[in-house]
Amino acid sequence: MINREVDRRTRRNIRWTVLLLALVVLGIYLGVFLDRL
Amino acid sequence: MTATTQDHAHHEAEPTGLKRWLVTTNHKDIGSMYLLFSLAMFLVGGAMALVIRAELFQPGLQVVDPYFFNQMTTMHALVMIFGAVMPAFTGLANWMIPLMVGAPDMALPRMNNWSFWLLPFGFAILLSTLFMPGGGPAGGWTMYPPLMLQTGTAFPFVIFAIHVLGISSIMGSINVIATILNMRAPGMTLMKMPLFVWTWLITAYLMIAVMPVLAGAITMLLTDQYFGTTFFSAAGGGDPVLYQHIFWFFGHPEVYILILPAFGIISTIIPAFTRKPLFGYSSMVYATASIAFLSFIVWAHHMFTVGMPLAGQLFFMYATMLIAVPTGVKVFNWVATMWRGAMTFETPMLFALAFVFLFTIGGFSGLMLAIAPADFQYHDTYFVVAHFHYVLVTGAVFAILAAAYYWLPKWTGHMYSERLGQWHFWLSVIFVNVLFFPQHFLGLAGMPRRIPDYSVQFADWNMISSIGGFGFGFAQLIFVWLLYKCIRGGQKAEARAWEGAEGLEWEVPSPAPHHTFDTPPVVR
Repeated sequence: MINREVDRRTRRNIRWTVLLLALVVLGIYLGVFLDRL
Repeated sequence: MTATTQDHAHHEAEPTGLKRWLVTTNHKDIGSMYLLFSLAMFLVGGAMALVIRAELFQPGLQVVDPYFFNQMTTMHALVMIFGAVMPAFTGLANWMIPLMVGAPDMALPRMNNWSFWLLPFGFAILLSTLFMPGGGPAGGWTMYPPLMLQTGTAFPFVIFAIHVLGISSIMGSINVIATILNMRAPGMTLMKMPLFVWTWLITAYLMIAVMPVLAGAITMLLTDQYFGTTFFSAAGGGDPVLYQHIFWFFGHPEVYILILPAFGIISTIIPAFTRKPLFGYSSMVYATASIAFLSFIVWAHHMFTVGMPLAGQLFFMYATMLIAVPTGVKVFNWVATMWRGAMTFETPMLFALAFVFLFTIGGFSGLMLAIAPADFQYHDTYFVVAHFHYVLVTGAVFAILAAAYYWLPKWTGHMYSERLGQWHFWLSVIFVNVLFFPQHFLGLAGMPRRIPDYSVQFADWNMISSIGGFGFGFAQLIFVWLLYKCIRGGQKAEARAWEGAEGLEWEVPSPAPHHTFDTPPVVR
């Protein structure tokens, strides 16, 4: 859950930041295997 | 930088006692838990180091059996890296980043709580492997196959524990990045951020990039062991050297994960006790980013001896040497900050000064190791052990201690005992050199690392090194006592505990109220 003390726009930005970073992490993790498959 | 701050006392009633710590979403509580956990792990990892030094006090086998010795070298590294240094920096980030950027808390407070509580869980699993049939992991913290695959019952538990610790680090990094990018106070542009925040932002990106690589490598170890894959088995068409490449693609940036926040701390403390602004702020930022970039293209300098093409050796040698340039910029800037400054030598400054001298020694021995033909001699010797302990103990650990002394008044509301702090510093700085400097000589004379017994010509320096180890270890108990006293009481600290300290964290009272910056400060 995102910090409730910030405004809606900041919450939306945080949500996007987290989504992008999570996708990067997932991509790198899977990428390590894809190299060998 | 000026700021207005407000603290509201209108927050709803919060849990007390044990539940407060279990369910807390407050960045200061979580920061404190990280720091105390790190201290506990520092003592556990330190005890393992003392087992190693006790065995090496004299040639021959006298204290522990060789297999247990190997478990100690492996676990000492894992505990110190993932349990002591990384959580200490995350604790400092939790405590200080919201205060430094004028945010009310971290961007994702619940995930913050989860990030922390995964750590004791992961370490309970990791440390429990020491009591399993066949003992804990003993193949070194690098976990190279096929040696690592010989681990007994402990193997899947170690792999699982490291995955858990990695997930904790990744969540912590996402939180740091989301906080810094989205929750800075109005007026705090990126180039106005304190250097500690900058170095942590870059460190968090490094962690995002390399922790999944480590996770991938050890998942492959797991599937090789139990699911019939042959990623690292030559018999099935795989390649054990591939593991080394993947591991060190994580491992070298990991070294910078352990040192970049330290650079930020030193860049905060030296200006405060020099009473001058930091020399070359923007060059510090660019140097940090350059070091982070270079850390991705130097990994194979850890494995010159596996046999790689000459062009590969030359590339990794020169790329590694290039790191000396941005690092040199930093050391120059710290010295230039001190130039003609009104310096005083309280404990945080002493640790910061020792950092500048001793980390630079570690940097120079790193340059020696970067020279590919010379590395064929140094590889897997005590010279390497001396090098990375200068970087990680007199570098990372000294910076963490400097930070603890610097911000203790802000955390506890009390000044620590300066007399005890000075004792702690001087004993630490003397014994740490007695401990690690002779290891350069041992390595140059050819003593291999990770061995419980050695040839008699190495006896004298090993004995001196062990005396240094025990002295350094016991000196840390002074810090534990000082910390206990400082938490319990002492002279009241002012909001700005240090005359030359700058930054938003010094605008709030000491100890920092439970909730800060409900109304964002204005940064001009």
